[in-house]
Amino acid sequence: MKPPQRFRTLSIEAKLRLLIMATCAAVMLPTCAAYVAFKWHHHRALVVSVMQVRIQILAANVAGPLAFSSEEDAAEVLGALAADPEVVVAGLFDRAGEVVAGFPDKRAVEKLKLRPVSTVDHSFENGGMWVWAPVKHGERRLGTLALKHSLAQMRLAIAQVAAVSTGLLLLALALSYFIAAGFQRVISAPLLALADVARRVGDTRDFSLRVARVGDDEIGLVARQFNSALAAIQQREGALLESEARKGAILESSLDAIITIDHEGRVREFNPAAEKLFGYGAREAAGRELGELIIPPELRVAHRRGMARYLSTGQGHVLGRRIEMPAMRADGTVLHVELAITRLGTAEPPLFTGFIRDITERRRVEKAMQESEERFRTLAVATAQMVWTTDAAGQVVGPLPTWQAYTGQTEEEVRGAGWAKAVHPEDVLAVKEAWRQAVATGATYEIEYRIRRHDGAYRHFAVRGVPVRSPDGSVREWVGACTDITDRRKSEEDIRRSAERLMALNRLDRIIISNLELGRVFAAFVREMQGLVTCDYAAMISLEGAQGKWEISHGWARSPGSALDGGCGPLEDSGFGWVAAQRRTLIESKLNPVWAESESLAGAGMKSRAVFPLVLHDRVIALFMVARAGEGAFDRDAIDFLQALSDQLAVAIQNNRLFAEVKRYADELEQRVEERTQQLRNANRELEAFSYSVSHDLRSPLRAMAGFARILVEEHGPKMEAEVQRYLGLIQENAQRMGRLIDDLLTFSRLNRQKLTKVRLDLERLCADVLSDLRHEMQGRRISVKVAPLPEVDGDPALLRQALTNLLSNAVKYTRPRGEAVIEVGVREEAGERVFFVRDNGVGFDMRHAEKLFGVFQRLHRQDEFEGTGVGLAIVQRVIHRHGGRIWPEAAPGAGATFNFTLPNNKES
Amino acid sequence: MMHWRTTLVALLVSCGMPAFGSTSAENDLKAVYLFQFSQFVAWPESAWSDPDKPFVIGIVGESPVEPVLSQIVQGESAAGRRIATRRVDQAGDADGCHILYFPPGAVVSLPADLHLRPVLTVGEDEDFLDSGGVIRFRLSNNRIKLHINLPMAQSRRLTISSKLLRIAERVERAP
Repeated sequence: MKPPQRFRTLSIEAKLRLLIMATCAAVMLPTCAAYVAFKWHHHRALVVSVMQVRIQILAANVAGPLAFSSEEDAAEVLGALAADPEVVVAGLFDRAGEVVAGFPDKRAVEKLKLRPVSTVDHSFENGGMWVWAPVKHGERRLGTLALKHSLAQMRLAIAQVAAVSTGLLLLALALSYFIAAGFQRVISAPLLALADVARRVGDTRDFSLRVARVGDDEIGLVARQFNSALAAIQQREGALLESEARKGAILESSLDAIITIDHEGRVREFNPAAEKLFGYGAREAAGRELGELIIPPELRVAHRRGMARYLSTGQGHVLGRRIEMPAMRADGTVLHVELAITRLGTAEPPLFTGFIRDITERRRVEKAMQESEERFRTLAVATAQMVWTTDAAGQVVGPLPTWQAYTGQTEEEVRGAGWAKAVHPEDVLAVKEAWRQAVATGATYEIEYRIRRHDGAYRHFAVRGVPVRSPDGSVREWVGACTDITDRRKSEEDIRRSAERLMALNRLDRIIISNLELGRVFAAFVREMQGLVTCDYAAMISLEGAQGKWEISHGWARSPGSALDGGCGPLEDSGFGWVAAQRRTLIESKLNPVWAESESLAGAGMKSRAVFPLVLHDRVIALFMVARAGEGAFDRDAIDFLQALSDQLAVAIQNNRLFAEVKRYADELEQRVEERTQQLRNANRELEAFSYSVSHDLRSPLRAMAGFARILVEEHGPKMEAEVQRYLGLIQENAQRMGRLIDDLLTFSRLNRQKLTKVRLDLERLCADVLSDLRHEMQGRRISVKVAPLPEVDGDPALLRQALTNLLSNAVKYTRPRGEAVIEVGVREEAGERVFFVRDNGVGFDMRHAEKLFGVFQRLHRQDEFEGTGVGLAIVQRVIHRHGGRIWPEAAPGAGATFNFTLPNNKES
Repeated sequence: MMHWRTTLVALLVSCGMPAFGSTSAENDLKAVYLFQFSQFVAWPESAWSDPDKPFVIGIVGESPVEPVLSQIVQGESAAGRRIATRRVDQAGDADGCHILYFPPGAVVSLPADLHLRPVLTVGEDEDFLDSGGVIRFRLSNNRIKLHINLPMAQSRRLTISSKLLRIAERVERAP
């Protein structure tokens, strides 16, 4: 704040006087005012408290009169107020606001408005004070009492205090005036002398003048300082002249252009270097505006504006700083200069000096470097990789632009080993160890880890770094790159998971094929599912039990006790019914309370589920439900997998049903076979018993027939005609044949019942015995019999003798048409087995009939060609079979026949 | 009942003075007074057999004060209980009353031991206090003055507030 013009022109004397009086007034005025204000407030508070007490006493006294509407009593109580001349008026009002009594009389208060109050209250208005109080009896509100106080005494007291304060103030001012008059003389006289000298120095610029009368107080100090300042100025002037000369020399010889301009931008100084740089002569440049001289047209406006701003506000962007800018030569060519401007001294208006250096060449080099660096950086970004470098010790020393851009770390944060803060916490230990080893050994650094992106997401990177070596082989620095492999990893992960699911489905396929029990299949399903889909409860729901109902046929729960096994309910209003009817999958990320079963599922702790229809032959046969204890949708993969599971489950159910059906058929068949076998066995036994008894019973009539025929021939032969004798001979012959037949049959049927008694026996010897028995039949024929050396065998002597007899007698019989019969008996090894054979060169037979050969009564030749009963080979086969061996023929019509058979040893059988 | 010996306590026959000769302003005032008595007089707790029982103001016989009083006590309370009015026509009706008002000319037979019970009897006849009444209304210039028989009140264990006593025209005290 500046003092007003008139005060400034006053003499020091007057100023001092005014100062002292003003100080006095400044102290006294607030003191008096505060005193008056305090008094006023104090009085008022006193009156308020006195009146509040008084009105409460009054209110208590008028409660009775007010309750009983006793106006006289009320008026009497209020009348007591006459003792206080300051109470102007008082009124008692009932609850409705009607006046009951008043002071000095009822009329005085009738025009007043009632202000109902709940507690004692007061207000100041119209120069007086109102006090209000409720009139109560106990808690009951009866009315209101109001009272006005004139405050006359208080006002009087305040007026007295104010008058005394004003008097004191005036007295103090008068006193200070006289004190000031005394002091001013001591202070102002030396000051006036000092002012006189100063005025003269200013007028004459004679710095040799000095102040003569000098005291010892502060004014004396100022005078002495003034004198010594004058002396300093005197000395400085001489030095200044010298400095000017030195400055001129610097300007002349400086390599930098030095230009000084005034506040209007006009050139004051232009040194030889400037002449050389810009192509203007110093004289030519002097006085011209710098803007027109060397500043390119596009920067002139900014230049002039900057100057103007500095001159008006004292603030400048360029002053004291090193700046680079284009400049213009006299011939119009542009060059780049480095410029520093300073304000010279404190002269007003100011002078500015610029030091200017040509940096055109330096700039060109810098720009080329910058472009090359930019190119490198763009390349790094374009390869979608992060490129990094460290020093030989593995510490980051410079900026890693791509790393910083990706991770959001600052250059400062990356420095040293700070980059590792962006590595996933689970990877960081391994990464640091790998990096430490790589740096220690100088081997290629190769690792995969997760890096946190600037938005906080982690992605997988393959990181590779190699050392860059100096010519002497030592590691100079490390360079490397990080490649984002998250997508590759994810697709690998997807492939792995789908492969796992496929494998699971494949395993289930095998289980379904090899396992027909539905409970086990379901357990296998749950087992396979668990590894691949999160699930807390799974169930297969049968729809084919009771009509219109669902029932959980198989269930599994992660935590025991929450199983819903055996649950059932009506299809109507259930989610199961919906799935069965719509034949669509029901997926609930949150159980829908609309369905009847939702409550029991929720009761088991389930929150979400998916229900799949199991469709077979265009019909929903069952449902597959998967439920979870947490809310949330099943992901697409899980649904696809569960869908595939459901399809398989349908197949499993189908298999299970087919198997049940097949098993039923098989059981039935087996039973039937068993029955048949039993029937057959019975029939066979009956047949054998029958044929034995028949054969046996046939013998005696036959013997009688043959016996009587012989008697006839022996006793009456000579008497009978030749014709009769021939007939009798035929009867005998046929009876004999029939006897043989019966014998054979008996032998054959006995074979089945007869116990087999095996002993070690010499087959060669047996063969010789049989041949000797057949001597009779071989009489008169040319038969060559070759019996090879035969081994010992285990067998029943009687049965084997019978078999050999039959085979050899057949051989003898069927070689009859041959002039020279050849019969061979031998043995050979065939597939580790001893095969015995009986071979002849007889009539043979067609192999087509080989099957019939071993049947009873089966004959390939007519009776008149070769006699026989047709039982012989059947007996042979039966004997060989009972020994556990096999028999088979080899033959061709006219080419002889060979009967092969085996006889296992005891050990072998 | 046998111990309820009935005695004629108040038989007041005002010849030449109609029973309902009072003005309506006067009746309003009497009703207000009867109500205010419930506020300025304290009853012993034994005056109620049951904490839920109301405070009862009984009016003997028919009186124009009764409808006004009913209106006034609406929603009010005394001794922490709601207030009820009751018309008293026979001795049994006086049972359970805390204030019993005898309008001029009211005739009723009352229990003989009424003066021992905590019942504030209010009447208007000149000798009402002499015959055992506690408070008497005296009419004068359309105003009601109160005469109070303090010993009688004390014997009935009734405590009359000093505020009520101070507005009374006359208070009879124990000699």
